[in-house]
Amino acid sequence: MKQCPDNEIISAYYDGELDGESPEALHISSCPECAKILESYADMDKALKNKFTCEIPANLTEKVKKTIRRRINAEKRISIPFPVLLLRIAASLFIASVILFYVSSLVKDRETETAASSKPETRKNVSGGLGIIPFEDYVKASFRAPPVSTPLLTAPDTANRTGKIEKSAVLPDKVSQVWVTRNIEKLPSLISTLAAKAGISPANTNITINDGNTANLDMKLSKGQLFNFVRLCKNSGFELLSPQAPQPEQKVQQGTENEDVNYNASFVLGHN
Amino acid sequence: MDADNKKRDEELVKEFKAGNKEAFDDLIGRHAPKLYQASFGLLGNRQDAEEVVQDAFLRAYKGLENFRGDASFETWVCRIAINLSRNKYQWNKRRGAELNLSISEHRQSLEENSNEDMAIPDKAPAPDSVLEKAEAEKGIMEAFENLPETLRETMILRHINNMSYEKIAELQECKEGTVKSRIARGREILREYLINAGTDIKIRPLED
Repeated sequence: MKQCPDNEIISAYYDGELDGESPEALHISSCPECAKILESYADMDKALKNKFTCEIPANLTEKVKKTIRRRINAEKRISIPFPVLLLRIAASLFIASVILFYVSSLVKDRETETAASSKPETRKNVSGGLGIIPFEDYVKASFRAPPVSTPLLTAPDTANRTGKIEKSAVLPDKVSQVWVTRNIEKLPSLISTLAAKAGISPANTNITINDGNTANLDMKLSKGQLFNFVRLCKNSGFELLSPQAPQPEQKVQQGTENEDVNYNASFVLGHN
Repeated sequence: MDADNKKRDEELVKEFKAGNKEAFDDLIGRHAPKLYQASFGLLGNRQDAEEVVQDAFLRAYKGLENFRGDASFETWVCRIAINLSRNKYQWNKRRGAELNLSISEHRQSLEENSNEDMAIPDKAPAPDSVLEKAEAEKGIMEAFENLPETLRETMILRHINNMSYEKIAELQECKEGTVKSRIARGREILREYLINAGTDIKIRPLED
């Protein structure tokens, strides 16, 4: 074989991948030109080995074993079945929302309290002056208005003269009151006049003078009539002793003005 | 010998599948050095090589239950390592720095080696020859880094891991003839590069 084989054959020969008895192998082994190529391959081999061959770290195997064990264990720890994971997330969200709701309500209450008890100096200066708070603002902020109480059967501002109740309106079926009067002798005639004004039939009015100091009044009338009667009594100078403030269940309800009510009043002589 | 190794691997895989997880430790001991060498050859960086070996064995551990044994365990795990190295190489290449660093490290080591050689005048070759040799190797490395990835990988498996064409073909899932061509082509490119670069010190061009 005179002509040199191509480089692929020489390369395979260099790597020992060519049959040593083949004509190509025989040629290469005796050809000086092929020998040069083989020499260059050997140089490459040496350079690559020099660069890319390294000492294997002594603890490599142990290190790999340890790392794998650690990572497998870590993965086992964090691998939670999906439904359980979902459940945990849902529970966490629920707890978080409950806490959030609780905290927000606390903050809201706090804000309300703070607003109610805010001091004048903390209020916004609406006068535009240099730190001067208008007197009205000071008063409003400093003093809280006392709770407004509506005496039982006293006419609210919204009630009209016909006895029609526009708002509130709960009266029990039996009402007892104590009044102070300055003249017990004239009481029967005065009550008759007021009852007539309130549209109450004299037949349903029964007044008894017990002695010089007290008298009892029994009336059967409608709630609307009672409403007017009490208002008239107050305007005529009687002083209501009890009850001064309506109980929550005694709030007047609209539409009950025609309902019957038994009214019992005690009159006590009072002196100025 | 290869057949014995293969048989022993098969036994260990069987033991592992039967529940003896310790068998995997033996598999690591048998193949980690080879994998490290191949990964280092492909990446040129010790830390990267170690990471690849760890990742490859971790994947093998997880996948061994489903390992059918179509290829040998060695080929299988080596293929995993090569794929991981390939990905890492691409990643490093995109980042740029690592590869350059590895080359510069190599250059530095070459220079250090040359200096050491020069420090012993009576035993070492003449300084000129040492420098020439270092220069030639440097040229080969530059050319090698510029090789197409497949050729580079094939040459590493052949030159560094001393794998047969058959084994490389198995790993790269190609024909032996393809491996043969790749290696020859890689060598030719390196030779041409060195000739054109004028670093033809020991590597001479073909004379027609």
